[in-house]
Amino acid sequence: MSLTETSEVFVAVEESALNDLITAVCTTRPHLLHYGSPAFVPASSTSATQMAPIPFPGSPGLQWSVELRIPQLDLFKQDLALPPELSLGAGQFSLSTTVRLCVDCASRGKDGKEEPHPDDPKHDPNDPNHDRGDEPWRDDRDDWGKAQHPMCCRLDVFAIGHLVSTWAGGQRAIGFAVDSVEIVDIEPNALESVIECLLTMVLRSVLATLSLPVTALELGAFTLTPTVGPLIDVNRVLARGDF
Amino acid sequence: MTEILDSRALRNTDCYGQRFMKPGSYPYALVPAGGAGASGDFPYVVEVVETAAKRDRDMHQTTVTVRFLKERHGDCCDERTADPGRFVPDQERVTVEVGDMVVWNSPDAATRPFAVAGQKEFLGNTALTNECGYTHVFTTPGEHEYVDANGSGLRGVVRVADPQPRNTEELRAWQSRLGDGTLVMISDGRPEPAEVDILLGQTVFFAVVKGPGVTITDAALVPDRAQPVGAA
Amino acid sequence: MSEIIAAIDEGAAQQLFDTEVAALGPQATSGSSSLGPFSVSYAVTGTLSNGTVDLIAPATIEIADLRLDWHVDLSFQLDIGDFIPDIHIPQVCVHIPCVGDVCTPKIDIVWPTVTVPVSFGDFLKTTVDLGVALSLVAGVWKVEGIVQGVPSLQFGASTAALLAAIGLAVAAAVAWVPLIGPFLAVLAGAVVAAIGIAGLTGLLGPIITPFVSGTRFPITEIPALFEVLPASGPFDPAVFVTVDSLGAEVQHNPPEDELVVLADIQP
Repeated sequence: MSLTETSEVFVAVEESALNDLITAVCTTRPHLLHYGSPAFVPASSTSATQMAPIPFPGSPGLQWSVELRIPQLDLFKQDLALPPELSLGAGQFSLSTTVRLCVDCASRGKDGKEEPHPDDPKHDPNDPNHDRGDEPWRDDRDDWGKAQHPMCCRLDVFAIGHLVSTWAGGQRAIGFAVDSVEIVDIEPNALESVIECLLTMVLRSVLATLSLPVTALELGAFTLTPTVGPLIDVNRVLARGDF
Repeated sequence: MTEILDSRALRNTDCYGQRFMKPGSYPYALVPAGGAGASGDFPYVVEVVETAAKRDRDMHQTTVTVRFLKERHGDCCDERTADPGRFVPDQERVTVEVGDMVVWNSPDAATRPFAVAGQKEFLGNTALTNECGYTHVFTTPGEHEYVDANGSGLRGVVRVADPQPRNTEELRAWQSRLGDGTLVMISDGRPEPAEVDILLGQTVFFAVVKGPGVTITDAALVPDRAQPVGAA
Repeated sequence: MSEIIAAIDEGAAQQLFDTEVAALGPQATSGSSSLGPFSVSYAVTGTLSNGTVDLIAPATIEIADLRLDWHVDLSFQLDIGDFIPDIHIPQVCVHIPCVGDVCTPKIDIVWPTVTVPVSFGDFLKTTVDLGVALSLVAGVWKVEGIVQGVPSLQFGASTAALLAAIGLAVAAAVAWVPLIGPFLAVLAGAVVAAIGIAGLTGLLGPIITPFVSGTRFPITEIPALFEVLPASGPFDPAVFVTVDSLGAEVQHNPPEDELVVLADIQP
């Protein structure tokens, strides 16, 4: 069977090369995997993308960050273990990564009580009754980039997705779409569902910014105008088209 | 090396001849044709003597061979010298008898054209006067119209036919006729005959009996005198 | 197993070589050589036009009917005396009435040496086998098709036409020579005969063959540090991967023959 079949040009990228390409992108542009509000990301840079705090009444905004490890892709057929809830079908890829979620509990004082700002006249650390619990959270924007009480957790995340055609820099490109996400061992199930939903949205957003030009798939060896694919074959992405 | 018909400039296919009718010493110079002429220096001599005992003898002809010499520097010639060289005869002094003819010719095709410039006005090829002549081998076919560059009104035509030999025999036949000469007598600026037909490679003798000092010059070289033969 | 495979079929290879051969443009060279008994200086140009591409596994690209349009400007010194004998005008005498016989000296007409310029062009077709060659030069992987061996170029009718052109050029070059007229046909014929077909092919072969033999046709070039994404902003520098290894071969994958480039990369 010919490689090109009825087309003129054939390109195949093994999953190891696909992961190399994704690693190259994520290593060079780590901000694609790291987002956070000012307490965690004082300014946007190559390393991280600054985003707004989560607005919430009575607070200056909830400080947060999300950071993903470089995702590892496994193209159909399955080579990497997946949670039993997920199964890798033809034409799909699995994605495994670790997500680090952080929030800043800066307004939480000792013993879990809110503490007025030291400059506040109401502040009396020796007064056991000074904390009435109705003081507004302090706006600590002057201390951006310095989360005072970061609390973080790491979650191993598995996802199933498929390739989509897109454009990058004016060129034909492949993108990655998430179909489903699974997080292992969170109880109760309702919390797991909430977190999974949250991470599904996060992953979709992150992957929406991650695309690979078709020319990169074939290193510019031949000019390819895809008419078939790019699609996932067995452990590789392939495309066929006109020269 | 295209053909130039001009009695003022002598090449290897040309001869200038002068008959000497009076005894005496006739100094002359050999100069580049078209140059400034002799600068008062006439290093060569034709000595004409009269021998009473042989007064009725036939005319004798003496041929002077002219060569061009480069100035020599060291062991070899140097063409870069400012002095371009000079023309020299094979004999600096020739002695002839009254009524004899001296003919000058340079056999070297590479030699630049030269002229004979005599101390006496009649001696020289820039203006053919009396008892002199100019010969020319015609080397290109076609019609050659000649005039007098000095403006006497002399005009004539030499038609040269190309033999176009088709084989060796015809080629030899043509070559056997190269020794045939054609005579044109010129007197008082009139050639006789005014038109002649010859074969390629043949020689025409232009004999000047007497005249004001004419030249035999291709009409193309004298544009303002180019007119059809026979025109008024 | 290579990480990246790019392949084109024969149709695409045909398009590729159509483009690459056209991109070569005119080539030119000059020098001196022999044309039969003559030393010639020449300036020759050649322009290739692609033929029919046939991929032959494992590593041959055959181009049938590769066309070379060539044009040569020759110049050689012709000593006319080498071909026709010098001519001698014998002593010519005429009788001048009342004067006597006057004679000219014998005159030797020595034939000159003339420069004969010849300008001629034609085309030929040949079949060449290209080997697939790989190199890493100045950080760029190059895959090229290189003509194997020295093709035997057949000049065919060109030689007869060029000989005729030389004959005409000789006639034109010596037309100014005095007295050459009767010898013109003999001279042109003698020169053409002296050169002959062998002389022409002896000249044309060595100076035109290099336009074909050893010619390198680019197939593809890949920077060893390959740019995956260009820089697109202050926080998005260009992304590169390193091409560790590259290979190229012709594969017979029934029913087709395909030109395949194989690569391994690392981030």
